[in-house]
Amino acid sequence: MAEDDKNTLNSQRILKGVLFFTLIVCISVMLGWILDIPEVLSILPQAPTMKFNTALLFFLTAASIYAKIKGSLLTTKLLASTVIVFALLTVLQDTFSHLDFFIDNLFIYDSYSDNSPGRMSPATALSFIGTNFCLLFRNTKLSKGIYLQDILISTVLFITILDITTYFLGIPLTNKEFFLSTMAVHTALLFLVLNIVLLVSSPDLNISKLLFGENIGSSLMRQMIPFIFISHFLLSLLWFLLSKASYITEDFAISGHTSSMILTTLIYVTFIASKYNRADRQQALLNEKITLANSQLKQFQFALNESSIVAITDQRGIIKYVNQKFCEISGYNKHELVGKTHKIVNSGYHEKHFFKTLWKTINEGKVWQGDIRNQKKDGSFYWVLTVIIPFKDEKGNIYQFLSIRQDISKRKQAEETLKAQNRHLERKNREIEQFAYITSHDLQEPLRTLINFTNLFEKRLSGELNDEGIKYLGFINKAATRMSSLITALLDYSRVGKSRDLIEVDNNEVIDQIIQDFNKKIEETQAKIDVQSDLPKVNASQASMRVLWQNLIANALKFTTENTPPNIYIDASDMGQKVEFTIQDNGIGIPKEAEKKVFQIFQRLHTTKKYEGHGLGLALCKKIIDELDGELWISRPENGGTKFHFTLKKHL
Amino acid sequence: MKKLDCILLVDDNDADNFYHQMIIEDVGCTKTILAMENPSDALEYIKSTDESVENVIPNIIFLDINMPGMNGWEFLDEYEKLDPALKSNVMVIMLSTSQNPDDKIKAKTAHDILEFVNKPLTEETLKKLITKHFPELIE
Repeated sequence: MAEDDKNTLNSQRILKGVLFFTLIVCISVMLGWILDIPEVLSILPQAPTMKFNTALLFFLTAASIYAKIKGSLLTTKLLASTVIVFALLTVLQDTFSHLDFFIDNLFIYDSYSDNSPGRMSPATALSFIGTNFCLLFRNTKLSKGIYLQDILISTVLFITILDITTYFLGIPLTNKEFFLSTMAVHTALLFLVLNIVLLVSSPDLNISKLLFGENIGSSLMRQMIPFIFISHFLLSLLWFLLSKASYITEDFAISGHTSSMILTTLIYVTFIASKYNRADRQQALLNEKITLANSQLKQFQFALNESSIVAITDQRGIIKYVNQKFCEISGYNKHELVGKTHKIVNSGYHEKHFFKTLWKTINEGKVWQGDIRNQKKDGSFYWVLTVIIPFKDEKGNIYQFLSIRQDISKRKQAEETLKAQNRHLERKNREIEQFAYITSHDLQEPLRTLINFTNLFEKRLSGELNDEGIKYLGFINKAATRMSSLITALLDYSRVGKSRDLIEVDNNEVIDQIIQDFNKKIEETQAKIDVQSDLPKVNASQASMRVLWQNLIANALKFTTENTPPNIYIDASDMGQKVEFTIQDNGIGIPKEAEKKVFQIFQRLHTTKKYEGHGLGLALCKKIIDELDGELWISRPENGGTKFHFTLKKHL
Repeated sequence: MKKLDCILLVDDNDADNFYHQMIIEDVGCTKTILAMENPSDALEYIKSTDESVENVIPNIIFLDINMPGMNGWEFLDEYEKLDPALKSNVMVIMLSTSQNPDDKIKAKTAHDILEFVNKPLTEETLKKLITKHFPELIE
């Protein structure tokens, strides 16, 4: 916009300059008449003079145009009318030779001209009438007025060009037609200049549009006109001079002029045409691209409308556009939505703060995204995943918001159901946990009484019993003790995985501690335990890892063949994200068919008499590893024994 | 070895009370052993020590958790409301079968109970407790 202002300012300045130039010319001519300086009057000797009246009328015409530019319409018309009347009188004198209004030498007596001294040529008078007539019509928007102005201006331009041509070709005054006989060259030039000013300042005129328009035709005009003028003029001058100097005959001059004219014009037209062809090809290419982009945009729009609820609001949030999907889902039609704000679908679910944050974000020009619960026309609710994008103009001001929404009611419903189910499960889990504690407590109590009192009996009253009685008491005590430890083991099993807080666990540390605990047993059995010195650390709970290693090592120490000291080897290998641990023994081994059974709760392969136990150890190990998303399996080394493998996530 | 004035057992299980009484007797660290099956009786007793000269303030209260009616926690809630003078020389020790680790944490954080002993109370455990908390008795 600033550039436009500058342009108008520049053209205004040029117009004023041109007017100023005109004024200088006519004032100098008038002074030339008054002070008797013939050089100013005709420029070339023998050429016609610019009459005083002509200079005066130019002065008035220029003043009229200036008044027009300044916006003083009345002055413009008054001045223009004066000029027209004066010129008309001159024309009348020329037409009817007996008429004389005594205006030719009204102000100054013309002593230079032979023919009708002091009188301007008919061409000059008509040009004044044409030019000033246009000034009278200046502001009209009527097509007839515009056509008239077009015709007037082109006529004047034609006359001036005719005059200038004859002048520059040096055609002597005597050879001129009567019509142009006494039109001076500076008169013609001033008309040319003033009419160009008129054209420039009247953009409504068809000629102006043609000359100064932005369309391709106007561009062609602008490129052709200077060429036509200059080439024709120069060639005419060349051939005219050649013929005049008698180098060639007049006939040859005409044919030479014609053929050279055809040649130069063809060359220039070829040049222009190929330029336009190039531009046209580029235009076609551009059009193709635009068409492609347009069709892609349409496809995007289609996809968007098919998949999403789309709305556009102004910067205050008033809805300007909604798509079909919006109407389908909300139950409102377009007329009910456009002109309203989104309050119409507000469900009242979100707090004020929620929308405040939303507005704050988008008003800062940032994209907002979130889930909103809306209300349909029928009162039911729907959830939408909403993205709101602010649109900015060139100055960076937000002028509208585009919102794209996805109906996520089903997802939300599923989430709600899932949450409810989770809550239910959590409650159930807590119940089960409590149940486990209470049951174990209530089962332990009578057992403890049994154990306590058989112990007490043995301690205080054993003298009153015979060996058989003592043996019976032993059985009771042993059974009760066994059941008690079984309940404890069962409780341990149910508690695995309760703690979800995983920390970095150092396996070497855990195993060292366990080996210390088993010290007595290791000495008794002369066991040899070989642990790789830098076992990888894992993400687990300390307690779980302890129970895991404890059970595996205990098993390796327990299930031994007679008279063979246990030989245990603990190792690990890096598997990238995971670590595979192995513990290998030289014990009794596990038959292939029993492989699955050993990991099940309360499953035992041997009698308690032979190997003590509850059938819980490996089940516990399996549960711990399952909880840590690892795997546990068994392989059988060639030289006998058992090798347990398990994988766990590495601590990163 | 000097003796404590009184140890109070609060447990609804009479067999446990009986057994624990014997263990405490065997250790011989107190002049009186009281066993109460009802926690509210125990509370009444503690209140009465104020007025009656015969009723001695217990040095240790062994408290069970799972009891019908008023349980161990409810007992503690009531106990904490008592006159501080009555409690100044009393040490409450949880004596329970509970294997719930949450109970241990609750005892320590919510009721400032320092000791948590699993049933049954053994002579060893009792001796350790005495040595730790009443070192002046052992000379």
